[in-house]
Amino acid sequence: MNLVRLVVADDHVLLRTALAATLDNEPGLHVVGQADDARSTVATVARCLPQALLLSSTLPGRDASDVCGTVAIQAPECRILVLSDDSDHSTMLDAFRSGAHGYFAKDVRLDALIAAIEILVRGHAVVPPHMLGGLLHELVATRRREHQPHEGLAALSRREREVLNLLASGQAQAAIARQLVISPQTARTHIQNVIRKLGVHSRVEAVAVAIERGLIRAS
Amino acid sequence: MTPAPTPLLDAAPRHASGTTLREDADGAHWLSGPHTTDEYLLNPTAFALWELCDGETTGSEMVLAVYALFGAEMAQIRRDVTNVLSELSRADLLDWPAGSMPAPHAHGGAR
Repeated sequence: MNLVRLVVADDHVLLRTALAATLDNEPGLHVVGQADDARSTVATVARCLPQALLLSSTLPGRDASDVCGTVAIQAPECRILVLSDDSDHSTMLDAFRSGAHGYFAKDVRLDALIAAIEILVRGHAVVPPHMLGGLLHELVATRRREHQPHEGLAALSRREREVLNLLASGQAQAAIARQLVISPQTARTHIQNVIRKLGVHSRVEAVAVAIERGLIRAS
Repeated sequence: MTPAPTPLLDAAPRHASGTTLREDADGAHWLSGPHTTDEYLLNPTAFALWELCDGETTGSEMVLAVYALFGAEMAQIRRDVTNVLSELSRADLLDWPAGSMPAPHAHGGAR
């Protein structure tokens, strides 16, 4: 029986060792290395040539995206699953752009993680279902930006303008989601995109900028 | 003379007015249309595509985004996206720009 060779990289010793021991006991899985920072992760992958790397998004030393990029070049056969403390779409998108093949929040159940590893080594991507819509929207928006560069308000998609209008009318994230018949997570992504594209730091600022530039009217 | 319909993937559908979304205790998403009490269970990918139906994103853009993420065979992704959009449309959950209505006999697995 061919075992799937894994490297586990996380700076939290207890989490890493417990996860490594648990996965190593699973039929079909074999943990061949562990690492606790970015540098040792790259070195361990180069030495052990695993089929999959479970990579914490918050390793000391370098950004997880940098580690993904380096591993993707040095060990292109290695499938990378980023384990994150949060469900932030931009972090996830950065990871995918840098060469990751999967992304999971760390509160995932063990059986789901094992299933994800199996999917990953079969060559498929792994995305938490509740983050899929937001990620696809980001990919669509990114492709548009690459093909037709815009700035600020002009870069907002129709849906983002709708979200901005709803923010201006005082709607919270949950109400926006209900109004647009989308999930709260996707509404959050749209709000984050509006804030990022307008170069502001809050929803209030985003609304102020939009009113100031005539995109929406003050109520 | 009636103009030829735009190929489905070139059009940008949007949510039909009056659709409602319900998330059950297991996190599954159910949609119901304005003219029926029937509910449609969407798998995660179908729901993600539904969320992209904003009247601006074309089916082709959806295909490219799915391809960029999952890297499966492009022809298969085109078929899958077409099937999901056709299913949603048959359930009266989508509005289409004039001339771009999907073929009524398309079939697939949104539910």
